[in-house]
Amino acid sequence: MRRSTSIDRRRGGGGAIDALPRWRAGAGAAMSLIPRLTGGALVLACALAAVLFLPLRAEAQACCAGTAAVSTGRLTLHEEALVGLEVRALHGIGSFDGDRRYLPADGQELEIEQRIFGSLRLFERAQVGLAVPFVQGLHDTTRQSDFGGGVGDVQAFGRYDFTLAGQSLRIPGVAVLGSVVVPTGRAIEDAQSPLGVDATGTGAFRTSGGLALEQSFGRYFANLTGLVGRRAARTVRGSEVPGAWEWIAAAAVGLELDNYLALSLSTSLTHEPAAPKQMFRWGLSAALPVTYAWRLQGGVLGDIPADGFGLHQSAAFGLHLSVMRSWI
Amino acid sequence: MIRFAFVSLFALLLAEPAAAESAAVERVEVPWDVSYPGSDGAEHTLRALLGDGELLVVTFFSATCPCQAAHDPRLLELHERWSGEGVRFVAVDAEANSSLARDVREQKRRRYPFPILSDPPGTLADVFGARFATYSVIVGKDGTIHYRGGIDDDKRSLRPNATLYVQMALDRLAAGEAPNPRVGKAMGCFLRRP
Repeated sequence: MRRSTSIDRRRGGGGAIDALPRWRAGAGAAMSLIPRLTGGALVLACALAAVLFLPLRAEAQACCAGTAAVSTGRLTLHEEALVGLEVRALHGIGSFDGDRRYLPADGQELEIEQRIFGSLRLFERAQVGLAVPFVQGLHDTTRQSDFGGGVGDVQAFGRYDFTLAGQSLRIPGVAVLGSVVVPTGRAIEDAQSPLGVDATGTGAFRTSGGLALEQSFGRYFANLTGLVGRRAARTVRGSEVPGAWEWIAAAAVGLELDNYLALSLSTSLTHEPAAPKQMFRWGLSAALPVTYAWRLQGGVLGDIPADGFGLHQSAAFGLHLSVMRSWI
Repeated sequence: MIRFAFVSLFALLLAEPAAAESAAVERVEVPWDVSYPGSDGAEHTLRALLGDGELLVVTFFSATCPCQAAHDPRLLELHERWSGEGVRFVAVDAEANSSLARDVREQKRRRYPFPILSDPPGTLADVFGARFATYSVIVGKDGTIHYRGGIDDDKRSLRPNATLYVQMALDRLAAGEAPNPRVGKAMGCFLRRP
């Protein structure tokens, strides 16, 4: 049985979920469960090895860039502006059915996205940003193969920090986040390709808002984010598609090494009650200042290909790499 | 929308780095005679530390901030260059979780030729407006703040072409001129408060 192949690119309001694209339909590669789990375990083992074996001073703190490993495009302490380019590749590996069963895919689906983004500090506690994605999709099944793409949905995002992480021993950083996604991409119903590979957007305005808490503990840092999102209603070929609410909870922990490499491990749970849909995703990322003004950020992200970790959602595994230029 | 996005990003690319601020001459009520325990085992007042000097450079210190550690060589260079010319130096550990025992260790390890004053309540940080490690003030005998801000515009590594704010300010003061800029951006970690 072949499942549908549309891709739902949903971006939340900056923060941790900014690195969490969401796939809706089933698709994917004929990978077995065991190799996938082994790959994930290897990544985690590498992260643990980095933590355990790299030289660490006994007393040091995550200074300025730690949280940059959690969310791409976020300005770190003292930065006034940045621009960057992110390249992301997601490989569909399967999907979850209505009983939360994981079903490996019978085809291959690959999505590649480049994203140009910029962030600007309005004043010390407030920053805004804009991201413009360019999306390419490749879908290959036993019967058909197609490739397409275009400009995706443009996202504007911002955050206001009431308090900043690391400023106080007792009070964590508290920020309010917000984002608006404008349907500048091509919706699935407008796609020309039978496999929908040229669908680059969701066709609806999306807004989200929420709170983020974060704190640093020596060289370690932690982040908790809660968001509520709303997808606006839209009309598809004369039929009204109602709007929908979704909830996102995300958590991340990380540390900054002596060479200023920041590593973070993040998870997120996305829940859309009306559908109902649910997705659990993890990510491991790293940020490294290369020069005074340039830094790299990259990592892996994915869904857990096992029963119980999703509901009416596709599952994917991906890589992302960003290069950013910042101004102090 | 797309065009707007590109224009915005292009504008960001062309944007100049934030310049150091200029500011009017400031004067603060310096607690000259309040005593603080020092990492050399003695109690110190700022007045005693200034002694017969003309200027006191107060640098806010964090034992755990990597930016602070990166700036140690530059701080030592400043001390070596200016301590014989009527400029006195002191570091202040104003972090709420600081301890005198740790400051003692850090002074030895970093070979600071000046004491680190232990001030966990952060009274001196409040007086001088310090929020970040490496924030430094050049204060005169009469409480005039000649310069406040970063030692330079570096963060966690030292660049040869950095703008050396404190060095520049001392050069100008030695020439009888007002520092320019009077305020620089400090790039260190937050000084942890309660």
